[in-house]
Amino acid sequence: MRRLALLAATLLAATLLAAPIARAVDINEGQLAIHGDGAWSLQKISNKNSLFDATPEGNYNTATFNLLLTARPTTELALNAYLEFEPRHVGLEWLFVEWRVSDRLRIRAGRVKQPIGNSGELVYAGTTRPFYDLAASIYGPANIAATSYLGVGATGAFSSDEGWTLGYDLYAGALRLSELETYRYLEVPAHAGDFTEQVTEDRQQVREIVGGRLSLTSPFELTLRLSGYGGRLQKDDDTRKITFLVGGFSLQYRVSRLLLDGELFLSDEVGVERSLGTSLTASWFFDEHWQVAARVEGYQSKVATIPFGSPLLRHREGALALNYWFSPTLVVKVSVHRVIGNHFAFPGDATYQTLVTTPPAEQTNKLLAGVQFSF
Amino acid sequence: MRRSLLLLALLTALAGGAAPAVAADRPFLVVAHPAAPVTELSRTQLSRLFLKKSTQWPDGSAVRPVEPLQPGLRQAFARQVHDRTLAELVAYWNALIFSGRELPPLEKATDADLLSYVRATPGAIGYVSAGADTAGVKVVGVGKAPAP
Repeated sequence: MRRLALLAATLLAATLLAAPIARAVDINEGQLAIHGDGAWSLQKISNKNSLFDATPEGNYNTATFNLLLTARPTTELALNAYLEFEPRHVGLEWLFVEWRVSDRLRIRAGRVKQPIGNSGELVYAGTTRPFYDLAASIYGPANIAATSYLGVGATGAFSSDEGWTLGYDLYAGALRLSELETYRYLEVPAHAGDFTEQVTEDRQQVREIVGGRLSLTSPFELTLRLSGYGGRLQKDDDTRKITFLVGGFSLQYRVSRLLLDGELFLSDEVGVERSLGTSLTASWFFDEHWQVAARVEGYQSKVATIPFGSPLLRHREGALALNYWFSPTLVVKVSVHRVIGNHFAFPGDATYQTLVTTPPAEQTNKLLAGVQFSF
Repeated sequence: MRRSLLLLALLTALAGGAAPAVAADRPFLVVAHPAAPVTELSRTQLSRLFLKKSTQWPDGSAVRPVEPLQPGLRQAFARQVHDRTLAELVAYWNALIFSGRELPPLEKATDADLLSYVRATPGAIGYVSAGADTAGVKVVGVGKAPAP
């Protein structure tokens, strides 16, 4: 534990010293560019529940570092790779090739960031948002947004001289979604399985997907986005194929000091489960350093065989943050969160059965203090 | 007659018919490769090129924007062309970089480095201190040019 704390302190000190002057690495006139982002936080919960990285005893082991490599062998061709380094995981988050026909058409193939909502492509870079994490009700294991799709896509934008921009994304292929079926024991006997297993995130693949996003940005920096996709879902522990649909709209208003961000998404595992995720964020810079932010979010799942009122089906969260930006690429964030519901907040050692037989506290408070940087 | 022509030429030059000049309160000059297919750009057009919202010249060739590292110049360009602060621009580029969509323009440490790059690179466009020696590059006017 002491070594971990030392590592965290070293990382923090290094970022505080290095990030304000940190720059991307450009090699050979931009033919290879290296960018990166990182984060570390202490996350603590007020009761026996856990909430993602937040634990009752306080979790220090949260350091992450990501490297983005972009190669531009020609002006038309770009190769992008994003490498993720976490305490227990090293992986390739995305890897894709892009062929630029024009500003209005770029063709992409590989493992591509999923263009969904306001922030689906920016899950990791914490310096792009006021809160340390994105709203779990949409970007968490909520069966709505994936981190990437595997397949082919097209993207582009049409702009007017008056300042309007219409952007689009189209894609087809497959993606993997994460979800938490905390309610699984309530489905007995509809859902077969071992209910004495610890509750963990399930991964499920949606194949044969077709999806897209339309973004309209006005000259006064208001952006409206419509996103959605559909495909056939197959869970890792199941052979059934289920029609799966997701759709939603997002609004974002970003001017110098103010950010307003609102989103609402619906997902439908046809005949099995429907979910709604929503979030509303507002933030304000007092000056170039100090920022305050507030967010409310909600997630509600509806499963045909389960009483609608179960706290295992819902997540409500309100959060306040106070941030100090040393520079636009280095920020210290402190936030407090109040959660109602147990869809995402439950004891770390809970099994599907104990969540029902020994219901956890329905209200959970979280404290987070962390640093995020990018270059 | 000759005197009238000289006077007309002088008036034409003063009215903008000669090589475009930047406004007196701008501490920068916009420069492009000599073969760049523009002589004047509106502030909006210029902003779109440096924000990489437009990546092609009207003839379809690639635009290669390049920026100086001098903070004073960057700040003036951000304010006068993009109507944003430097911090807002960093936030803009952060979002594009980390979504894998676009990278910011190349950066050059000095006016001389930037001019040398622009001179040698077809499609290049950049900006330098107002007093820099712009021999061998095209000075682009910043005005209300029609859309390319």
